Amino acid sequence: MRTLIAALAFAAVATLTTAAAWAPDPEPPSSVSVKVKPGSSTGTGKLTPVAGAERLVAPLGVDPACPAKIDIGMRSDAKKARFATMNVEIDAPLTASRTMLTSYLPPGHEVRAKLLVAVPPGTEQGEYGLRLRTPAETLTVPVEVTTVDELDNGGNLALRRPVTASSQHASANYPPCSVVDGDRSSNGWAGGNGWNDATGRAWPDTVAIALGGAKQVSRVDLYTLDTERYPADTYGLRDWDVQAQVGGQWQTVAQVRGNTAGDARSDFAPVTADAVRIVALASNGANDYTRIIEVEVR
Amino acid sequence: MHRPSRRTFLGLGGSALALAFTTNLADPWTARAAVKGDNPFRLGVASGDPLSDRVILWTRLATDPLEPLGGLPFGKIKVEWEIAEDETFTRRARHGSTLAHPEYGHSVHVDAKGLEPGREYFYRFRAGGEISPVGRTKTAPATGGGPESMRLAFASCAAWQDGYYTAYRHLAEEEPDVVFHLGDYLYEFGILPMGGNRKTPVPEQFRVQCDTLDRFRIQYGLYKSDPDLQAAHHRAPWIVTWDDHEVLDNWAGPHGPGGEVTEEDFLVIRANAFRAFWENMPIRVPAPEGPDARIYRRFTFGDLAEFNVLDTRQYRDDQLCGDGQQIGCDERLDPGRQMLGAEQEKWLLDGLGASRARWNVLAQQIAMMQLDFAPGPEQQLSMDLWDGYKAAKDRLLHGMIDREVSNPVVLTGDIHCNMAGDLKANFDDPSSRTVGVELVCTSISSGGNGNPNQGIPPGGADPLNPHLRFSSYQRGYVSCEVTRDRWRSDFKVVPYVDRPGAPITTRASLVTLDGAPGVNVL
Repeated sequence: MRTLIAALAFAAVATLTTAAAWAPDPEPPSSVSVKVKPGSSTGTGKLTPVAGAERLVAPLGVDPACPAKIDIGMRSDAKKARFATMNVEIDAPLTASRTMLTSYLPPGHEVRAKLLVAVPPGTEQGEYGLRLRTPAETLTVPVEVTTVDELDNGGNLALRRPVTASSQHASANYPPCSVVDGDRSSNGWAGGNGWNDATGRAWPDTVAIALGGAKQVSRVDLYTLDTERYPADTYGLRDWDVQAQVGGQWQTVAQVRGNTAGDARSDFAPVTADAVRIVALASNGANDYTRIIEVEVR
Repeated sequence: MHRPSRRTFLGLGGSALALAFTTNLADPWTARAAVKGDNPFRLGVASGDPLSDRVILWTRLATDPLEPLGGLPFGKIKVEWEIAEDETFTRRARHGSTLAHPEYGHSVHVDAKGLEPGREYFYRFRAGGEISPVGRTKTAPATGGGPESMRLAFASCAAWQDGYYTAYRHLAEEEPDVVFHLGDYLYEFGILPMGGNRKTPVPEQFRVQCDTLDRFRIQYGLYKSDPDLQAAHHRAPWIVTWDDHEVLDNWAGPHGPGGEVTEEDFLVIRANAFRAFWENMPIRVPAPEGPDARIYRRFTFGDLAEFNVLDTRQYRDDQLCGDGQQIGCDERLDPGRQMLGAEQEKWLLDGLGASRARWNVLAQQIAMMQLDFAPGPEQQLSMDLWDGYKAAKDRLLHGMIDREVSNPVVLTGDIHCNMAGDLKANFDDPSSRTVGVELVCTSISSGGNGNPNQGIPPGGADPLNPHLRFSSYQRGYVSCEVTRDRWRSDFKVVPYVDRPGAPITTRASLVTLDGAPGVNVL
């Protein structure tokens, strides 16, 4: 049971004031992670583990609401469709969000799903092992535990830095730290891949990223919610200010107005800032909430 | 075969377990000293799909319900069962043993046959030296004449993170002859670390949404660990169907939510979801081995009532016009659009035409009466409900008129709101013929506490929807007493679900008289 509007963490059901019998309960959008890739089978029956990346970098000291993630899966070379199981093991003290992956698997197909990897505080830096085991094969994926300072951020000064937001909606998984998790994709955003504030139709909303020291910045890219089902021109952010914290004071360095796209780039004269924040002023369509997928700072 | 579990069952391998209970089966069972942490019956027991001579007895072994394999080794486990006429098992009717297979989540579905019609029974299981809780069940009445009366309850929509299952506890205490569950028994959504309205911590594994079988299994493990839900299963047989959230929000046939899940991805999710549903429900259908599973089926309670349990998700066409509530989506009138699919629709109408029952019941998911959601000259209708499949609805309602079906009663869930209303031959013409009645149960917990000030008093009428005669936005279930003369419905509600222990009250008592379709205030 759902309507499009209600699915987007809309405000609570209003008291009956009109003749309408009822108003639908809000339900969060879906955040499915299963991906299927068809293929052909030679009928050996072999089950092969697969991973979405050759290695996983898991930063230390980040908000546990935004763990490292990797796609894991298995490919069937069986004659017939079946339910297949793969074991998932990880070296302590790291923990993984599954101990096994079990799924229906047509012959020749590959199925993948998301695995979250948590790094407890106090974990030593270094390389750990994630092992994906089927009866036929074990695939070991190295997991590199490193500090945020040593992370290869590709020039994005915001990546994995501490985030504070004015509020967080509780109907699904909308952690503020997700705006710096390195994932620009809107898919599965209610499953921990985006931030949704808790104050419907109340502005402004703010989300601030500490840069871990004074850094020279001159560009901010903002990715707002934008999928086929929830397009940016209806559900995305419309107006916002980009502010930089210089010498303890927030300064507005750029403004975006009337945005209808899934991403917007702001360039400005270089400043040396300790932090960057987005001051959200309005969203499109229902104009209800701030929905940000990612913020990159250069 | 690999063995994924880190634990062993009672510290024994599978073969040792089988040897562990070679005690004389003729003796009444006596509980052995419980080994702390190794009780395999943490998910309780259940019964379901009662016929006049048999009933399904269910359990799923799990010493650790929040693990994908329930904390058990990947091996077969022997499970003994018995069913008796008395709660102390001195008058044993049937017994036997079976194997719980890891490929099916160590679930057990015993069809206990050779029982007497219309009779109360008690059942239990034994495995690994542990004895399960005792369940109460009841067979359906004999297929001939009678019975004079029956009591049933129906419920839907129990999002775990939205609140406590107090309503299930009150339902259990009524000990009805049978419980119909109309779907959204489980929700596929990920659960936040603090457990939503329950403020009960859940492990990290619950953060991601259900889509693989391992993930669905731990979601069922969490739900079925709830003592109030277990109580409801322990005190009456259930007849279940699914709605959308057992799989994915508002799925339709091979379609998941538009634009985010391909058909190929969705059918794998659907296969995983169907399998998990089967493993966890006391249902008499073959175990799903892929993305197709027939669960629509029929139950006859003598000549008093016949129940057609429907699947309005698996065979329907996709929702139109972007789903949600829409004004003027004329495609909804397309005569080719299917809700039940041609095969189920024919099965339903043929069955209704052949029925000799006084009351002919559809146990199904979504609102059939027309529901206009907004004031104004134009109708705003929900594309997910029967309104989005207008021709299919008309074929069904007019099919019942053509077949002179005796006393149609439609039981509905989905909408998180109690409702009762008249099913009209033409909803836009209040003077048109009333075909039957629709009774809609609210949610057990979904949506949180609800609001006692929202709704239409019993016998009132909604100006937009004059056929709607009662509604209430509170949590609860519906309890019915069915006799040859009348069908009485008591809409039971609780004032809150964000903490345990809420009392139960009756918000409305409505009756429908034999031969006079329509909702009346008692």
